[in-house]
Amino acid sequence: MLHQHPGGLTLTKRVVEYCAFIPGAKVLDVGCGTGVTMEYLQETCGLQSVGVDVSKERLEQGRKHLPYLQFIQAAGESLPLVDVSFAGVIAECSLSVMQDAGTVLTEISRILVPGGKLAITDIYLPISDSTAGYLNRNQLKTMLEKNGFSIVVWEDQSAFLREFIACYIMKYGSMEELWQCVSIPKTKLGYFLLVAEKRQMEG
Amino acid sequence: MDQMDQKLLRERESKCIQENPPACTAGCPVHVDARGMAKAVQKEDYATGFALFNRMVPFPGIISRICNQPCRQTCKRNEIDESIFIKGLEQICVDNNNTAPKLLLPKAKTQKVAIVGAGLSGLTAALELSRKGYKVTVFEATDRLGGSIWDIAENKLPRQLIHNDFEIIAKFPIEIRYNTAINALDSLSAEYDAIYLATGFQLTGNSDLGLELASDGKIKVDLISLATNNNKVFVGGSLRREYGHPSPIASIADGKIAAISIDRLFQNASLTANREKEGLYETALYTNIKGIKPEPMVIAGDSDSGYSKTEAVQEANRCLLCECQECVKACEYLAHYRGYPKRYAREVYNNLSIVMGIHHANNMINSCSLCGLCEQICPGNLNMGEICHEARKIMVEKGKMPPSTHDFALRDMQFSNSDACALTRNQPGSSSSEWVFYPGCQLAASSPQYVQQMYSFLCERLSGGVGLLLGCCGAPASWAGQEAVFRETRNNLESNWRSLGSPKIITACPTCLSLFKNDSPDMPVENLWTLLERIGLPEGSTQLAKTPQKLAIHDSCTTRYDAEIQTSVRNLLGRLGYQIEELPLSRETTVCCGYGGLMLYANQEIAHKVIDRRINESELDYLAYCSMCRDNFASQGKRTYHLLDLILGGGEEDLATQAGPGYSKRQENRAKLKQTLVREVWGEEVAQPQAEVKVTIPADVLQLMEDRRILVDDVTNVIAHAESSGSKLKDARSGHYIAYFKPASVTYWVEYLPQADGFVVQNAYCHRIEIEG
Amino acid sequence: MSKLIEEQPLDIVCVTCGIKLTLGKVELSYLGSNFPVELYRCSQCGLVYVPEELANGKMKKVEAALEDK
Repeated sequence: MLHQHPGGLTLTKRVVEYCAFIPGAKVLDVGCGTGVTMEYLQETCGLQSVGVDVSKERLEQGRKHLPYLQFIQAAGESLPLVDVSFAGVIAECSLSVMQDAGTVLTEISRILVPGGKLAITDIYLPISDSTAGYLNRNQLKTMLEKNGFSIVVWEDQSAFLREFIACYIMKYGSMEELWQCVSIPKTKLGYFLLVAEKRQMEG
Repeated sequence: MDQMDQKLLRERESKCIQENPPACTAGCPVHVDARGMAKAVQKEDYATGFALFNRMVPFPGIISRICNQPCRQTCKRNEIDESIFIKGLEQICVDNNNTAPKLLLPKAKTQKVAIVGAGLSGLTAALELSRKGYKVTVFEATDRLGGSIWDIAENKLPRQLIHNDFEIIAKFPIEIRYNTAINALDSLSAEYDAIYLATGFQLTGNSDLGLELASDGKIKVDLISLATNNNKVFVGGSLRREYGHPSPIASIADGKIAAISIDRLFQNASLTANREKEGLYETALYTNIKGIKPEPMVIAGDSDSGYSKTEAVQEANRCLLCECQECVKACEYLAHYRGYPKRYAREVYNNLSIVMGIHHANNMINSCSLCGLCEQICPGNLNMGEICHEARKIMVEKGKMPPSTHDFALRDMQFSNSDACALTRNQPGSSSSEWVFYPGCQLAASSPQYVQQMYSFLCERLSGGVGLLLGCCGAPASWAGQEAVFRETRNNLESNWRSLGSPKIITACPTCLSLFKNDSPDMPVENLWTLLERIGLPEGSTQLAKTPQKLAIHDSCTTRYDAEIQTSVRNLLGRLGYQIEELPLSRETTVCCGYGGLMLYANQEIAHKVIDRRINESELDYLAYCSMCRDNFASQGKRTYHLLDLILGGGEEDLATQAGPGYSKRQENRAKLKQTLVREVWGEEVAQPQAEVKVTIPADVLQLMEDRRILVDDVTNVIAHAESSGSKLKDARSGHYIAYFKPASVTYWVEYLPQADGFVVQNAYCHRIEIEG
Repeated sequence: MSKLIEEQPLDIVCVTCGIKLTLGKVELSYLGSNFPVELYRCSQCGLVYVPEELANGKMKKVEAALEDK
């Protein structure tokens, strides 16, 4: 009942549809956890999915359940992957818990082929807010452009966040534990969906 | 209005003077935070004290010994006994400090500045400009730094301090050219981009320098920027002061001012804009000194070595730690959030201007009683209630008002205005009314018998027909920011009033009265107490009290601007033979009982604090003339009479301790009052709605329901629904039936057992989350 | 993860259908947010049971969280 992240696979499906990958395309899940999305990408969408996460325990769980998928332990800021080797990268509620979003985006840009897609679903602060430590929509936009991305789709999906919070509280009793890994004032959040494309090289 | 006006907010915010500096800081040429220093010394935290001092003073050791202390003139303590010996506190901080401040060297800039004179002023300017990255050269006629401070005796200014203080100069890339007197400015002007002249006292004229002179022979200097007629040259320190009147601290201040001017010169910015607060000014801070015992200044045992630690703490403890906080001292709500109105106003604004609300500010906005006490007390007349009320309206309009906060109070209001309780009638036998009695919803709920008796009395005494209007004036809707609902309620009230012939309204409730006066000025209104003063009290009420009793009067907060009602109440009490005590905050400075602004619903914690504080202000029994005030105080154990208890109830002792009715009883009383009046006064038969089910509720469950704001009707409806539909659960172990029902927005759960011809309720709870299936 | 304390199984019966309540998916909603939770309910007619601790505890927290957004 409680999804891994707001929106669950419903949101994953939506974002994958926007990306329009060709069958068998190689897609990286940044912050893959136990591989729920990876399984969906591989089995349901027919893509070649690879996952990266910092948590050894979650990766082990993933490997046990999905032994045929590639789970790699690494931080988003330093991906042990070859340049221009992925058609797509998906980051679901993972950028917000990483130390240096800028560096992560640079790495993602590096491993994507030109024209490759980056799909992010995550929390954000409204435009007028600029609390240090997290990004508002404009800051994220700037960071993406700096790393050679152009934004193809942006949608507010805050309803999923509200439902996620409700389910989380119903299951665990309070939001405290969850908010510890997110360093921003919890009550100002929205949730967004974004698809960006790595710009083609200049001719 | 969908936005809180920025300009309006700034105006309101600026009324709060709490953030203005204390008089010592405002009166210090370099604005040392002496208050902060005193606070630190109180705790023997010399490191913090030193840091605060050093932040504004570049040569702390020297100044702690030779400062000429302009602060002694402005210190607020002068109004009580003697100003604080701030210099003494500075000295002990310097002497006990072991930390060196971090130095940040910025990127080097190209402009070059010449400083003439290595006295305190010149050296200050040199440091400030070097900190900003400019290339600084100091020209000093003698072979050492410091200038005239060397003229001060060693015991007053130990040389080691001079040495220590000047160490910092070597840490910056400042060039010092000793034994280089400057007599003309031409070559300097050619080589340097700016010049600061700080050569100390001059007896003779300065015509050689080619600068314009003032009538007293001194160089003409702009007081804000220290500029001369030569746009590269600035002048300060003792050079511009009257001979023989040195001010070390002013010299340092001049050095800072000149550095800022030179910096602005290099950036082509205005030399004078926005610099009013650089120099001395008078602070707008207000500090209440009532009740402070005079104490003389602490004198150090040894004046050269300064205060001992004990002496320093003693002197520091004399510091008032000046601040305003007048409103916070008087209001539990303002105190609760550990801040002050200027900060709160900003938070409210931020809360409204972003898309999503902050937990903290939503609650703060809804917890204010809107009573306006702060406006009366604040030296700037800031009204927090105004800000909160406006914020609530905006939140409602934007759909951001949490529904659970006011839902119960608004439904209660709707019930008061529903067919079950509302009444609009002319006096029996009249087809129109010259008067109409409007007792208000809470008097009808608490003391329906008084409504009946008073109506009867008014019909007797007044001619022209006295109508009766039962209902709620809409105050809860207004307080909740529900403008549309409020308007609708007022429109209905107005049309009911018109249907009676637009009579003069007699209100028994101060809140109804204030709403009529503010919101419906075209509807003539008089309060019951002033009327009774005029027409006389009912028979038998003017017997003197059996024992001459003194009562403390609590004025309802909605009478704040209505001296007439406050006076009438006191006159009536006098007539009834009671003596009066005024509570510390009364009449126009009265406090709210905790019901105003729906505080009791939005924030029980603060409401309880408010009630607790008020009821402990006097040992005497209290007198209130609003049902909610009376019931609130009684709920926390305070003996409180309602004025009608004295006029119609004979002032019986038990009346003061009687608990007000619970929510369910209040509604029942209002409904029964209407039925009783219709039957007994207008002689009509009212069809009693048959209770569908007979429900018994033990006292402890009733209390639980009261705490959870669940009405008897709510519980009855659940059981009725369960029994008629058959939809119910049974707990096999206890044998209890469990059922739920959602009549409107709240889902009520009841655990019950059948008993004889009815049901006994075991438990009741509720939630707002809806069960879809 | 196994339960450390054996909770006494709920013994509540739906009076209409005469069967014991069992855990099942129930849709809840508040202020436009819909979310599924696992609650005891009658598998036949869908009558739900919300215990007091849940109503006064987690549900209140969810209501507060959703109201302030």
